[in-house]
Amino acid sequence: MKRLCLLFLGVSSVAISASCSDPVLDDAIAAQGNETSGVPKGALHRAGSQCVVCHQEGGTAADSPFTIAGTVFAQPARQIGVDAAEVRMTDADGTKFTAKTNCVGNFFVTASEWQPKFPVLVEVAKGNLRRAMRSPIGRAPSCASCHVPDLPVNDPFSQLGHIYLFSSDEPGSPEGAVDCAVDPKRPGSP
Amino acid sequence: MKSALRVAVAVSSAAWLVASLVSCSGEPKGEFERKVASTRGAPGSFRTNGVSRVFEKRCGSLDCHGSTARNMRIYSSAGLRLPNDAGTGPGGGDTTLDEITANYQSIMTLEPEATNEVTVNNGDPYSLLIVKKPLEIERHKGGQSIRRGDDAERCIVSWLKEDLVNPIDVGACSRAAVFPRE
Repeated sequence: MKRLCLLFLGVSSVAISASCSDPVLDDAIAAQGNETSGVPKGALHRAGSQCVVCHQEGGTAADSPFTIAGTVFAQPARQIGVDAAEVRMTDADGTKFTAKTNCVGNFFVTASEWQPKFPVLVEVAKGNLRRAMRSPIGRAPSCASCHVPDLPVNDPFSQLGHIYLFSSDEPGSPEGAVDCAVDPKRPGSP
Repeated sequence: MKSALRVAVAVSSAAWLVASLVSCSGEPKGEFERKVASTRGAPGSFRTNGVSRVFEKRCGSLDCHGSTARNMRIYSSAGLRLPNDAGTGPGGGDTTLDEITANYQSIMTLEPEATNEVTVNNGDPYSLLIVKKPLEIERHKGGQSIRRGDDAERCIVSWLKEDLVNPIDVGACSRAAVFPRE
């Protein structure tokens, strides 16, 4: 009888855990691909990915949830992270928050820092350069939800390329921070 | 005898003509003509008074209704583009006339019968999803994208009630196309 009860408990717990998984989220996490070899998990990993797919409740990095996160690259046709760029955001209530990118171009905002009310307006700036998004972010907390990192973009009418600060021919367009712990160029970028 | 036959043929031809004209006339056209004359939710006003721009700005970002995954798709220069020969993508050029027309059709055909009720039979604009959803009177996945009393609400509602006595609030449409303080 005891064994039967244990078996029943085991089967029900497996069934419950299976029924609680979110197949949409699971697919989205799987679509992010594997970690880049040589890049440890942390603030410098997965530049250009949809950060908040994992960094959210129910995600694989649920212990460090973000409210907004993304990556700023230097050039339109190359994906080299821009260090120390300011990502200036204004939410629907008019509250503002400025995040700073690290040496691979990643930036992230935690819930304790800022919980924006969407839609959010955003601009990226470094030195005298400033690029503002023409439309507000409606509700996607990951920049890469719309700014796909693929080169070239598969569907030019409904997708945008990665975020970049410099034009390719602009003088001073950086080749990436020299003292970065990992290669600031995204794997696969020309 | 011949002339009698001719008269009979002429009379029957005339009768047939009258009968066919009467049978083709169908229902009285009064109701139909009144529908055409309705200025509520008119496409011209949608374009020229900037109602499309309000939808583009408030609803049409790529992560919301600027997506082919949505029933109500909104096209705009800053978001989803209609496929075009020039290859102009999000962020390039201006919103085209075709895109504005597509936006109008998208909005009007979201709930055809209910929209008819409002635009033709002077129904309440607040019964429509295009008003209830952004105000979150009805649950909206994107949350409350328009606040009660906001210029965007005034613009859309006044467009849906527009007639000679109640003009569209052009000022509200103009202000609502700027978000939040550009």
